[in-house]
Amino acid sequence: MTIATPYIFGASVIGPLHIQDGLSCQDACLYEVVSDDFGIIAVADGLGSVPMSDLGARLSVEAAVSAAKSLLCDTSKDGPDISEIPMKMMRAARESLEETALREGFRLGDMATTLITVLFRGDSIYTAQIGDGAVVARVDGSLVLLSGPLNSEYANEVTPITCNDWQASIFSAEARSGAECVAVFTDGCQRPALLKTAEGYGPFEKFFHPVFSYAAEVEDIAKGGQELGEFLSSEKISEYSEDDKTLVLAVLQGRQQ
Amino acid sequence: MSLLNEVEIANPQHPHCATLLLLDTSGSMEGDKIRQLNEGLNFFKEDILQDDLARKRVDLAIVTFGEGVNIVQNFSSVEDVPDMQLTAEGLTPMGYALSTAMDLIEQRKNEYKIKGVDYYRPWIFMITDGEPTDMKPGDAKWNSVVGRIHEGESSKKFLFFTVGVEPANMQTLKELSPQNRPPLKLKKDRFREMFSWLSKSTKRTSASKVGDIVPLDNPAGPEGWGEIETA
Repeated sequence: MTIATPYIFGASVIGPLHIQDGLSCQDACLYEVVSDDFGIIAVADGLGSVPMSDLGARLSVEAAVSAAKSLLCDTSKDGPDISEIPMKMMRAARESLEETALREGFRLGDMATTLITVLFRGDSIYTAQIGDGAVVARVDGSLVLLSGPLNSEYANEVTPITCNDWQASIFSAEARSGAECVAVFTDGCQRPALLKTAEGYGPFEKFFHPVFSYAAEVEDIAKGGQELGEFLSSEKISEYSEDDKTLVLAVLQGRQQ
Repeated sequence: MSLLNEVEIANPQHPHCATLLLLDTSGSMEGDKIRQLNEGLNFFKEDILQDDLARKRVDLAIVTFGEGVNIVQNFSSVEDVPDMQLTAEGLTPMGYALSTAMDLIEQRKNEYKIKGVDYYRPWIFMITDGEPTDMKPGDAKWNSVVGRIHEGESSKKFLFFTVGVEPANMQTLKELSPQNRPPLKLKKDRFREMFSWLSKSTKRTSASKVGDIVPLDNPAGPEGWGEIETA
């Protein structure tokens, strides 16, 4: 049985290092198709150095998706500009963390996490990002890095949404049309998925071509998510990245024959 | 699963941790001190090799200053570093040695960038029993070298650690070191413990991932190998 587009599926898996250290998965993802037309995706990676980053990641994606759904329900003529929704998802996530910190007596920084928010409608995609991870789309047959890692120079330093200058640290990508499918992922997937040169990052064709082909042929969302989880947990993907991994795939239009 | 068979990995390499040991081999290090330094160095190398992840990720360089400044080992995998038998002679051209160390760090980072290799913030770890003989506090060379150390640390180009071995001039080392990381004075005969701390710290750094602040054991704690002079 085929699935009507658009559809979204994904997985977050714990990395070998956290398994070894007895820690929980600090990645989180949430996604939903709304009104058979809009797709909402939120992906977060909690910082390993703070005690409640798994909570921070989970609260962030929940608040982000909830905010997007609320905004999309506003069908009034003064309703939201959908290009602004990813940024509003970011703001909602930050506010959720602030409220939790205040209510529970936590330090905001103890829930530090990165966050990527994506909204799509038809073949148009809108993206915002703080921290690392990336968004790659196939647009008119070509791979495009819509948003890339925003870490510092170094492999173990990143800017989270809990930092003081979080608003200035958000990258908001220009809207992109013509998208057929999109992948949103945390930094645990960067080494397999992104080429890195002195000029910066770029999507790796030999990773995304099979992944997007697989996504277009999925016939059962639940099974697709499970298989994606097994894929991310495999030795081949984990060999050079002991980190937690999240990969969310969305097929916006059409299906490969 | 056919997806697994079909995908290829874009960047099949580990992130690297460039660690530069800057070692005083001036004449005053002769005898027990140079012997302990050599033993500590070789212990450090062997300890890193025992750790599966660190062995693949730590790149080591060794620069000595005594009879001139010598790049004994430019950056390479720890597996390629031979056993060290350093000898002590000469003065203490610390200024030139520090400049050389910072140049090597920048070159290594450029190589990483060109090759698309992820890397951690590099370490410079200096061990000295004296004070510089090629520069004095306040002269042009001093201002240039020390300014570069402080700027490098504050702009996160590297992490800079200094250890003074008796009878090092700790006041001079304090002025040379970044304010956030004052020099440590090595307790007597604690070379081995110092290198053990260094290998443990390096292993932790090379296992850290994005978002991690790497907690290091306090070297100046009650059981530590060093002390911070407050006078």
